[in-house]
Amino acid sequence: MEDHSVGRLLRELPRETARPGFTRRVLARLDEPAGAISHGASWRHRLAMAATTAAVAALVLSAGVVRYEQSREAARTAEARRLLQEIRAEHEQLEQEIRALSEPPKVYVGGDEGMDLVVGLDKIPAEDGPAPAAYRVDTF
Amino acid sequence: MMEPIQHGAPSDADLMERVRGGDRDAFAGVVDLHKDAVVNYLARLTGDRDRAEDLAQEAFLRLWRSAGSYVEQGYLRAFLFRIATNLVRSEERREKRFRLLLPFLGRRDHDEPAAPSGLLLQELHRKVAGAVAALPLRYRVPLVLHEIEGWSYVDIARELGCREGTVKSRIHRGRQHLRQKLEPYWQGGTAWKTTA
Repeated sequence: MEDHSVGRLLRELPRETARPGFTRRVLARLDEPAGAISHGASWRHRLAMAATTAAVAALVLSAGVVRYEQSREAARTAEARRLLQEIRAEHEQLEQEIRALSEPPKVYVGGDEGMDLVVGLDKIPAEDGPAPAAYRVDTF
Repeated sequence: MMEPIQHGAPSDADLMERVRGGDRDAFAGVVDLHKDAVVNYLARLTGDRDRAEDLAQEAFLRLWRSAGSYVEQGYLRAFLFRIATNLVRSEERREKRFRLLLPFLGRRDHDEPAAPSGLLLQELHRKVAGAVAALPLRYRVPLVLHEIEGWSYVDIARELGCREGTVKSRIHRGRQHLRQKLEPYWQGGTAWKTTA
């Protein structure tokens, strides 16, 4: 099949003409706003437009729902973090108190401007334990 | 590029001058002069007679709305064809997007339009028209303008804003595509068969 055969085929196609009343129909549409869909637009086009609009609306709605859920989740997370921080602070305070209870006691026995005398009760031999001075005959 | 010549009738330039002033009678004159050419051109581009008529109406409406900015250069029909081509291009882009969302609508079947009668010649014309309408637009437009509307390569190149060599190349590619589509139906010479 040669190029000239293709050309001849195309040139032999019957020429289409506008249907009767074409000019009248165009003139009747002169006052419609730009962008209006023509009355003869296919049902497919109108159905496709409606379906596209519905799909876009569904997407926007679902995006809005997702954002709302995300913001609620963020608020719950922030509240949980705040409570955890409070618990940690309380725990730290309790640990400090326990450490304080664990430290061996010290007793202040006197002193002057230049010196304080403190007795650390953990220095007292265990077998003796602390006892009033009147009970003891040695010093340490 | 062939323009209609009617002795004693107002020229396109005269009519468009009046259309710019809002003269509807002048506009009706423009439509009457060019409606058949525009409908035929669109019918070849789309392969769909009804769609061609709708798009032709829209093309004239756009001419009316843009009349204020129309610059007379002696090629009103070429201007109308350009509007028509852009309408087809826009519509095909829209249809492509819709097909992504709505696959069940399917693609217009350009290859097998409904056959109202069994005449061999009509069948052949339908197959050819369908094959042309199925070509990529960049081949379809120059091929239709050259083979069917009789435009020269120079005129087509000026209208499409490309080089003459590009026009020839696209027409050649368009013919190749058509040959591939129509070869199964060709029996040689001028003999054709309706089934491949």
